[in-house]
Parts: sequence; structure tokens; C-alpha cells
Amino acid sequence: MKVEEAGKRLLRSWRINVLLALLVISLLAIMNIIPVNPDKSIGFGNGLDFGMDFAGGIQIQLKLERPLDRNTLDLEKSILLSRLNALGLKDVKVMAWGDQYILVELSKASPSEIKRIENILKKSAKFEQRIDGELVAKGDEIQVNSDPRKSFVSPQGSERGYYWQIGIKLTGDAPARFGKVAYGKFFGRDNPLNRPVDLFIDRPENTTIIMSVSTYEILKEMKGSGQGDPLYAGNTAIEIIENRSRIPVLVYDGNLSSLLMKLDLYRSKGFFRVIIADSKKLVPEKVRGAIEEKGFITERKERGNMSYEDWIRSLTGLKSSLRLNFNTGGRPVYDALITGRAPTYEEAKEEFKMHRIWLGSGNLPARAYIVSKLEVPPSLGEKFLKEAFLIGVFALLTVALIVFLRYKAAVIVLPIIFTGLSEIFLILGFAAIISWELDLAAIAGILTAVGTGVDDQIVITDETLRREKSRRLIPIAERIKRAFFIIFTAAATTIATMLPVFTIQNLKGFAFTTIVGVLIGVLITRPTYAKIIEELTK
Amino acid sequence: MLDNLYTKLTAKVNYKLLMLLPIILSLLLLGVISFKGIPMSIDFVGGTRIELSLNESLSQEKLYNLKDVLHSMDLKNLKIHVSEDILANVYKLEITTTSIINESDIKPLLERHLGKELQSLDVIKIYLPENTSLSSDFLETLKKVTVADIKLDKERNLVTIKGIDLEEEKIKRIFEYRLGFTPRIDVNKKNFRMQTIGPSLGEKFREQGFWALIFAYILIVVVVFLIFRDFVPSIAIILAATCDAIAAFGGMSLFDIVLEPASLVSILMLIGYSVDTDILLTTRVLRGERGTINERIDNAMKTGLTMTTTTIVVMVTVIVLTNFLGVPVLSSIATVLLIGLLMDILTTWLMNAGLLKMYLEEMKGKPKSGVKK
Repeated sequence: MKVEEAGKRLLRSWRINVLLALLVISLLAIMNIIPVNPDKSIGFGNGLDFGMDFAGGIQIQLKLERPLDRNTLDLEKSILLSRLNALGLKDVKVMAWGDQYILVELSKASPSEIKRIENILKKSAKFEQRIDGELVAKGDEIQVNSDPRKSFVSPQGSERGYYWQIGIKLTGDAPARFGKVAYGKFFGRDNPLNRPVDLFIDRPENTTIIMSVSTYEILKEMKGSGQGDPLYAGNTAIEIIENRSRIPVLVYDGNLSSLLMKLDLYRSKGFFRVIIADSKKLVPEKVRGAIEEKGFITERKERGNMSYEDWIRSLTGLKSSLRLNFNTGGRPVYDALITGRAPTYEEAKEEFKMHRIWLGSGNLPARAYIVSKLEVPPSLGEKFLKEAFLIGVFALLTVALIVFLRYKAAVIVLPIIFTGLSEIFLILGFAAIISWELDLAAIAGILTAVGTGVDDQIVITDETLRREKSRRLIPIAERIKRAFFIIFTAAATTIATMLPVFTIQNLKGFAFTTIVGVLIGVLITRPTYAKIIEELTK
Repeated sequence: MLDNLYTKLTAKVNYKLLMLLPIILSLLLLGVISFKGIPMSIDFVGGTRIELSLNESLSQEKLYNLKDVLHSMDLKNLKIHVSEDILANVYKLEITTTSIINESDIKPLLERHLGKELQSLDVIKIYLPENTSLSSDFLETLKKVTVADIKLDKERNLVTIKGIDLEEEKIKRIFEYRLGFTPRIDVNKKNFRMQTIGPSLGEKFREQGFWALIFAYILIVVVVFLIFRDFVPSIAIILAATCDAIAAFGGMSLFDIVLEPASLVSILMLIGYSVDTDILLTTRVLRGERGTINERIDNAMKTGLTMTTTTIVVMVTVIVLTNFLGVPVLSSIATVLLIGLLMDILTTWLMNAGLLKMYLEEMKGKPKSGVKK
């Protein structure tokens, strides 16, 4: 009877209602009914994001040849990431660890993809600067001038936009080559006839491009309209591919045998790769099959919903085409400025950053070595999650037993278990909503939080139930207040302990779930528990 | 059962003597650590870990020979561990060393001594009936679904799938659906897994762990000092946490529990729990409680022991369960915590209680409030 009345009073209490509402939201998020993971269906756990420990994946640890400062490290990270993305790998994460290590994590990859990644990480990207297809400088012949006065974005804009520049140094054969190649390509300051200096990253080598007649006709006419993309510089799209990027284009007009004959001719010159630059409808799979049969390595890169300009850039590896703006007079060039303008300061900064990444990709700020490679099969994580869950259930039952033995009252056991479970769901719900990736350490953190939660509830229970035998009774509110002093102090120290743990990559998850759990505890579940106990023991 | 424990205890033994017990124990354990050292996993010191799965047990002779050869290779801290997964009927051989080995050096050697081919990838072979043609579209989809390398040998009507972790059931289903019947499928799971960690990486990790602990300590002192505005309880809490951590490390040294990244988690959990009981004690003793100091400690002890006992019993449950289920990470976390928590009972209720009592009685004089009976 008494319990029933207490239950009714509890249902009217705002604390209980807030907790119940939050529990519902958490469950909806965990089950992905609130679509926190739009790419997954509804189902228990589908709202959660799992880290490599559970989802499986590959982790490659790189050591840099020397420690880097924050900015250079960010640059190194961006270069690696842009290279991996260029491979077409999604879900790649590149994280810095300390000042000399970089972690690369990917969710899943085939053995050959992993080999490619390892090569990419080991090797520098193929960087080239060309003017009208003629090589100016390549890879290690170019270096970003470290003098900050040479490389900057100007915060003062003019009607022509915001100016940025990067100073570069040329070494080896590059100064002489640049002087010669650029001679006669300059027609006066800011003259629209000035030829562009094309910057390529991983330009396809020994490769021909095959496309249908209709696509070829479009590209042959395409020159960019009016203020158009700086890409064109007076050339047609086909000229950009064939002349400026030096990639021969072959047309497929339905006559397979003549195409194969042309390809044979190119193969004798060392061209063994083929990019099919059209959809299966325009250049059918059987054509690709016939080409592969001849021993060519093929790859399909259709335009899809890319703009023509982006597509051409991705076909050729062309990153930027800034105009030549000085006369070399045929003499060697040792120092040069790469300059540009953008309509806003933000865009100028972005352009500046991207150019630094591109210019640096030939040689990373610091060489990276693979020191460790770890493959985690997803099956292992599944097994662990199941067993951890089972162990969790047993742990809660154990807690229930001990609490029952101590207080000899079921009325106290149930709220403690309910609160413990609520905390688990609230932490998981929060993690689902902010898309925090759960790993092994995070699960340990949840257990810690629930463990301290049980401790706190014992403190609350003891304060509430204490029979002050021969002394004046202290009001319940007063006693609960004292219990909360202990709880808040303990929470503050736990959070303080966890803050430095954030600096350790592998244990971040632990610190995160512990802190979230402790905060949820002191702000939501523990006051509610106190309320429940207060009502039940009235 | 838990009533008036401290009063009863100090009636028998002088409380100052009791205070010495955890300190002496900690010093002894420090001795053990410096003498025996703590075994560290290769995550901390760098090295190589090789795991082999075999589907039949290794004869004593073969094992002996293998050990002999490995020992003659001049590998530092070489450990060879044989285990058996009864449920899966798989025998596991784990080799760890703090030296870095090349896969191309060790793999042929192991193959020779085990008389068995070792592979680090899952390989599935599907034998197709003659004249089955698979479209390149189908192969492309298969490649995407399995995230693997796929080779079609048209002459032998054979599809070879190589991947890091292949799901054979799924692949079987795909082919059943495509062909309309189940083809002959050969599954060869990988039986060789190797991981190397550079020594400097391990060192970096150790260094980071060390600094995180130092900063955590400093922050705890600051927080406790800000809350209690008193130096003695802050120091007492840190002292207790330190003794608990020493006990945990000492236990690892004593029982040869390997220090791995997960152990850092258990040390942090331990510090959290340790600080919790100390704050309970400090609050009850220092902040406006009624009763004599002994009574306050008794009260706090009753609550605190319930807390710690609960956690200890949970840890024992976890250790027992993991023995059946085999989640080694949890088992090692629980064992380290268990040792630390047992020590925490001594440090909190013998050492810290004594310290606070001494502080109140001798440095601050008898407490003003609540002495009247």
C-alpha cells in the first residue's frame, strides 16, 4: 500500500519524469529511431558508432623522422589524408599522436588496397609542375620556402580580392628547366594570354583515356564560358587532357577492333593503363573486358554528377592552374612565388592552405615510417560485446545481492538496479547522439561510471536510512544534502583524474564515457534516486 | 555486523600502529616491484607478437624443437605460450618477444618446424561447374561486398577470394543465389597473425601514461584542497591513492600479470574508487557531524565497506565469469582492481582514518562540536 502511494507521488515528481523522458530519447537514439546514423536501419544498437575495437579495421601507426610543431603536424596530416582520399578510400581517419606519431585507421580494406595504402604512406606523391605539358619541376625539386615573409595570406582585400602567396625554392635541374620552358609564355603583367603553370599530383602515367564519340564532341567544344574556370586558359577540355596533361585520348565509336588496334600501338610505347571515362551505357563493359583480355589495367572514371571541370581535374590529377606572371627571359629560376587571389579572406586562406598541401605532397614535412600495423577482425569485437554484456548483467545481479544482504529490503534493491541501468542507457544514448565512437576503453569507462554510481547510491541510502539513535533526528533533506556533498566532491575529483587521460589516444574513450557518466549521475540519476528513496522510506 | 568496527578495532590495537600497516605493506610491495619488475606487454616496450592457430595439438617433440630454434635466435624476452580453445577445437601458439622480427624471416622457419603452411589471409576457393560465366558486374559486386581481392581463373573454373576477414557464410549465400545451387567451396582461414610495435612507440605510450598519472595527481590535490580548504586531508587522500596504486602494481609484479594498456585503465579506475571512499571518510569526519571522532569513523566505515565490498564481489564475479567466457582484457582489469581495492580497505580505514583522527586530536585539539554525550 505504502509503496503504491509512493509510486503515485513519484510519477508526479518532475525529476522522475525528466529521467523517463531522457531514457526514452536515449533508447530512440540507440535504436536509430531518431536517425542518428542515417545510413543504418532501425534496430537495437544501430544508433551507436563503434570504433575499430568492435567494428574491426586496420590501424597503421606511422613514426615521423622528427617531432613536428602543431602547424607542421597538421600539414603532414592533411597531406596524408588528401593522398589516401585520392585513392578513393572512404572512412579513413588520420590522427596525430603526440608530436611524432600519426595513426591511420580505416574500417575495412582488401589486401591489395592495404598494400596500396602502405605504398602511398611510404612513398611521396608524384608532384609535377608543367607549362603546356612541358615539365618544369617535379617532386623533390621543389620546396616551400620556410620564411614566413615569403608565404602569407594578405588580410587586406582590394577590389581584385584577397591576395595570397607562397614562396618556393627550386633545386636540381628545375631552375634551368623552368627558365627555358617558361620563356615566351609570358606576355605582360596580368595579361590574359599568359600561360598557366599546371600543378599535378599523381598525374596518370603510361595511361590512355577512352571515351565515347558524344563525350569527345562535348569536350572538344568546351572552353569555359566568359569568366569561366581558371582551368581552361584559352584551351578546350580535350586540349587540357591531351596537351597540357599529356594523356592521349582514344574515341570509342562502336568499332571495337579499331580501338584495340590503336591501343596496341600505344602499348608498344609503354602505355599499359586505360581509364574509361564514360558510363557503361556509352562504353560497355564488354569493351572493358576485351581491353583487359589484352592485358591492360583498366579503371572506370565516369563523370557522374561531378561538374565537367572537377571531372577533368580528377581524370588528370590537375590541382591548380595559376598563370605565369613574370618573364624568365630563359634564365634559371631558383626562387619563385606562387600567387593567387580569392574573393573573400576565408577563400584566400583555403586556397593558400590547399596549395601548401599540394606543393608539400611531393615531400612531406617529415618522412613517415610504418612502425606497426594492426588488423582487428570485426568478429572479435562482436564476441567481446556479447560477453561484456553478459558479464554486465551478472555484475548487476551481484550488486543486487550484496545490497539486499546489507539492507534486507527489496524496495532499495530495485531503485539501485534501475538507476544503474538508466545510467548505462543515458551514456549510450548521449554517445549515439554526438556520434562518439565506442571502443574497449569506452566500455570500461561505462562500467566505472556505473560502479561509482552504485557507490554513491549506497552513500545516499545510508544517509537516508541512518537511525540517529539517541540523538535528535536530522531532517531527511539535511541528510541528503550531506550525501550530495560527498557525491559532488567525489565527482569533481573523478573528472579531474580523467582530464589528463584525454591526452592518451587509446584511452580517450575511457575518459569520455567516465566523465559523461559521472555528469549524468550527479545531474540526473542520483538526485532522482534520492527522491525515490525519500518517497519510499517516508 | 559492520557497526562500530573502528572503535572495536582500535580498542584492541593502538590506532597509530594500525596506520603503519598499509605503509609497511606498500614499502614491501615497492621492494617486490624493484626486485622483480613488472612484466610489460609489447605495447609498452615494443616488439613482436605472433599468434598461430592450429587445428591439431602440437607434439611435445615438435614444440621442443621449435622452442629450441626460437631460443637460439637471440630474441629478447622470448615467451612461448600454448593454449587451447576447447569450444572451437583450436590450439593456439603465442610467441612474444621484445625484439623486432621480419615476417619474411620468421614465417618460413615456423612453417618448416610446424610442417604446415602458414597464411596471414583468409582464402576461399570456389569451384564452378564448367562453362559457368560470371559477369564482371557480378565480380565487381562480390569485391565490394566482401572487401577482398578476387581472382577468376577461367581455365580452371575457379574463383579465389583473398581477404583479411572473410565471412564464408555470406559468400556461400551469394554464390548459391547466383548459381542456383551450392558449389564446392574450400575455406582456408588465416592461421598466422603477426604484429610488430616499434620500441619508441611503446616508450612514447609509457611516457604519456606516466604524465597523465602525474597530472591527475596534481588535479586531485587541487580539487580536494579547494573543497576542504585543508592541506592534511588532501595529502591523506593522495597518500592513500598512491599506496593503492603501489599495491596494484605490486600485485602485477607478484602474480606476473602483464602490464598492458588495459591495466592503465584499471589503475585509473582504482584511483577513482580509492578517492571516493576517502572523500566519504573525510566528509563524515571533518564536516559538521555529530558524535565522537571514533563514532564518525565507524559510520563512514559502515557505508564505505558496503561500497568497497560490492565492487570487490563484482570483480570476483567478473574474474570467475571471464574464466569461462574468455575475455582476457576484462579479467586482467578485474584482477588488478581487486588487489588494489583490498589494499584500499587498509589505506582508507586504517591509515587515513588514523591520520584524520591524529590531525583532529593532536594538531587541532579536540573537536568543538558534538563531544557532549
